[in-house]
Amino acid sequence: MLNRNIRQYLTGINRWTMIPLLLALLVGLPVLVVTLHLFVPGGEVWQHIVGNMLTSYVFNTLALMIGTGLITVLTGVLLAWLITMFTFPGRNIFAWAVILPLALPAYIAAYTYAGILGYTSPVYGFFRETLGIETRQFLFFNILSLPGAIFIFSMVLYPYVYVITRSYFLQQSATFLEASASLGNSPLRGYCQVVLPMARPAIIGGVLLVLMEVLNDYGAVRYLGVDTFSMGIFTAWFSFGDATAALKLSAYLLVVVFLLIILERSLRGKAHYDFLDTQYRPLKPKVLYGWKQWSAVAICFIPLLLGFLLPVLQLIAWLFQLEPGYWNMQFLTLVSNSFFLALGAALLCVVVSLLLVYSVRVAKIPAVKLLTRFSTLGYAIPGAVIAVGIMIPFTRADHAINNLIGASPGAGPGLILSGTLVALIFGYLVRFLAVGYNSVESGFSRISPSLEEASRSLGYSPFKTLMRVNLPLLRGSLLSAVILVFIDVLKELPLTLILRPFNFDTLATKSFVFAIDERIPESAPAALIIIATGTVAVALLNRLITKGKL
Amino acid sequence: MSDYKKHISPATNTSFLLFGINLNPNKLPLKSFRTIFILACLCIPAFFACTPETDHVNVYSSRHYQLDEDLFDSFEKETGIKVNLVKAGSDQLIKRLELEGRRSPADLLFTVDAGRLDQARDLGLLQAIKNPAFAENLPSHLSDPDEYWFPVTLRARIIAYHKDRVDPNQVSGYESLADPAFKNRVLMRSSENVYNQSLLAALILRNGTEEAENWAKGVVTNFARRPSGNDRDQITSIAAGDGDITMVNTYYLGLLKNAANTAERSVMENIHLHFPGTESGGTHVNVSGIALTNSAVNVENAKKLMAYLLRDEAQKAFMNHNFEYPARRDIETEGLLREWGAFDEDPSSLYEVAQLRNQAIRIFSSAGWR
Repeated sequence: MLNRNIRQYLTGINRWTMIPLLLALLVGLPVLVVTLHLFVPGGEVWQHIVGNMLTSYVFNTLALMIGTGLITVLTGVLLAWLITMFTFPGRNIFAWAVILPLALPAYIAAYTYAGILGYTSPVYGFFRETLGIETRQFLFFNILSLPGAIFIFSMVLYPYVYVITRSYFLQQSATFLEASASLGNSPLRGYCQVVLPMARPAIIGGVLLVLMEVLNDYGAVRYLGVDTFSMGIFTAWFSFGDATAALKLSAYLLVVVFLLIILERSLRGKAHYDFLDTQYRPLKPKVLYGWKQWSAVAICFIPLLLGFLLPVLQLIAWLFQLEPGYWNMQFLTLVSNSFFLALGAALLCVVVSLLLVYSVRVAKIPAVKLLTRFSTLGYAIPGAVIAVGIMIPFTRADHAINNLIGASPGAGPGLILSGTLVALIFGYLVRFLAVGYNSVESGFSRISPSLEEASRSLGYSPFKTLMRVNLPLLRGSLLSAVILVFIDVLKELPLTLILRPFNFDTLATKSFVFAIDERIPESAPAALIIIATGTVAVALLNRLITKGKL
Repeated sequence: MSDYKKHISPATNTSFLLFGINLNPNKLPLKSFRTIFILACLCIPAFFACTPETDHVNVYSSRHYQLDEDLFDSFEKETGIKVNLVKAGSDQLIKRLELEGRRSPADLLFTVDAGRLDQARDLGLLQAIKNPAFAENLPSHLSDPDEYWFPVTLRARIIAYHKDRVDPNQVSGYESLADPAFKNRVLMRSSENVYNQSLLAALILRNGTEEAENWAKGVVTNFARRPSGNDRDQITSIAAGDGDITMVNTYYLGLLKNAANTAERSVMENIHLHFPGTESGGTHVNVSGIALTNSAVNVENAKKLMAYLLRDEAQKAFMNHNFEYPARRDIETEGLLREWGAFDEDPSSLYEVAQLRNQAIRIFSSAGWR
């Protein structure tokens, strides 16, 4: 018996099981380092944090998550329902335009709004001089606060809920709603009692993404002065200089993240929502007239205005305030640094994803699937946590390498891991592997296994099969994966701030640092390039979706 | 198409719908995997980008002024020594120096606040320069007593208030901020900011822990709102009516007064300044300082740069463009700084103030000053 099991295990040791194992371990290393610190005793700084700041971290983080979650659900689902169910002027444009706030990183939205609503802004000036309205330091409400943060996050993150809910609605059969109507329900009741419950898994999935983004953010909460967990991690790491405290906070944050994931899975429940193939009919949107028509337009326009148009207009206005000459060699280096870094990281992510997904298909052992899933956990983990979890082993490794070679200070290889782009790119890999993985996986799911089996039976090795048979069919998924990771890396802030080698700035860090240094108009060029790239990506992806799908 | 309709877990479904895109392979621009591979290889040289070995000096600076970079440029023109400037927050710089240890490429640390320089010294990151020529005319109570760091510019933390809403007779020294007359009228930035921490440390040194604690508690009772924003935000808030009185660093006032934005300039119109006098211990002055790191390799170049920043032209540039007081005592104030006039400087040693920073942080915590 035991012999047979051992033999089974031994035959399981080939490169298609070992590669994912090694990759998973490598990528899981930061998670491991952080989790271990749950059990490490904290020092004096940790005591200080627990005594004075932990409650406000917990409270603020929770309040932020709940507030943002609620508003994004309301906004996203409402928009998805309106745009799917009805026809009104501009609806086809709103269908994709409403996604645009995704191109705007939260930290840019934060300082842009602080600028728009601030006492010395032209907008406030208009209200003050022309309309005679003066409401203290900020127009209407103090944006440097928890409610302000909830507003900012909701405005830029609702598209996650919208996109997912809309895709879900698009796949809905009209028969359900027609059945509901024929049994006497008004459209509103039909919406509440049939549509919403059926869309629950989609909505929950969307909210999960929103909450992950909120937990991950550092730039916006730092600027707005809201003490969340990620702020705490940065403060402990940099201001107090205590790595242990930072890691312990990261560990607690990880616990919250895991709880969220478990919550999501349990809320989804065991319910199955099956679509009846034979009776599938796409929904026919109802035409709206009169006031309903225009209120629908208004409801769609407002999030677009608040979440994208206003901030972008303000940034462009700041651009014109600058002295010409910001578009210099330094700036071009910044742009090319960011783009090449993002491209390199995206390609690496996609290649690793490809290997992982293919290993799962080849190995056919459940353990491999589990391992690869584990290595995609990085997306759920805030960038600051990953950075802190990477920095320490890498620096130790660096010093060990130098000591091994016996190099004297000043000479020798120096900090080849922690001091170069290696740490940063590894951090991106850990964090964004999930993005590449899911895209590649969905691409593979459309390739019938029989193609591979035919190829294998005709003599091709698994690797050759991958290259010659699968790859040409996967071009679409690979392209979308590269685009998505590229954009994510370009926008990424917390991980980059901690792990970047010295003298290396990205568009994201540069614009953030300018904002923190109170040189806000100077942050506009970098910010606008990020947003422009994001917009192009959103438009590109949307075109690909609509052409490829329904 | 039927696998579309199978139930997939929302986590996968989510990502499937977001990322899973069914494309027509015939319409794609990229021809083959080889293209992607070649593109990837093109990125590799970026990792190994090396700079040519010219005469240089590496500076880690947490200051965020264009003027600094202009000064470094003219230094390079004059001496041919390239200044490699690396900017980051001072906490990050110190953390990095710590982690890099003896292998750090940094030659100089240029940062703000004596407390930070002292922290770097305590961590063993700096080395002393004995009796340098450029340290002539530098105030000894504002320098490190063992010559580990040297001041380059000075700034005073003073009181600013609304000229109509506040009676100048009620403003006398930092203690006034805790005066019940200013209940619900005091605006402050967060205690996390090092300027406030150093000020409280100076007050502890002058008046003792207990009085300093009472002062902090008194100010907190007088808060018009929860601390938020930076120094300039406090001034803007006074103009906007959120409060009447605050503490601010002198150079911010200069920058506001000369801002490009007219709204910002007009904010200063109603603001009056108060430099605490000797009767209440004097005005708290802090420094932007520079230090030689322990790991420095280009020591001679570093000393040349330090000397350059302490020369007449550079000191005057700091005064006229950044509104920072020159560290050198023998240079007369010009422009706006001269308008503000002479003031009573706190004579206590900044080195001793720096030792009390941790205590200050603790007092802020217990007083509830966020």
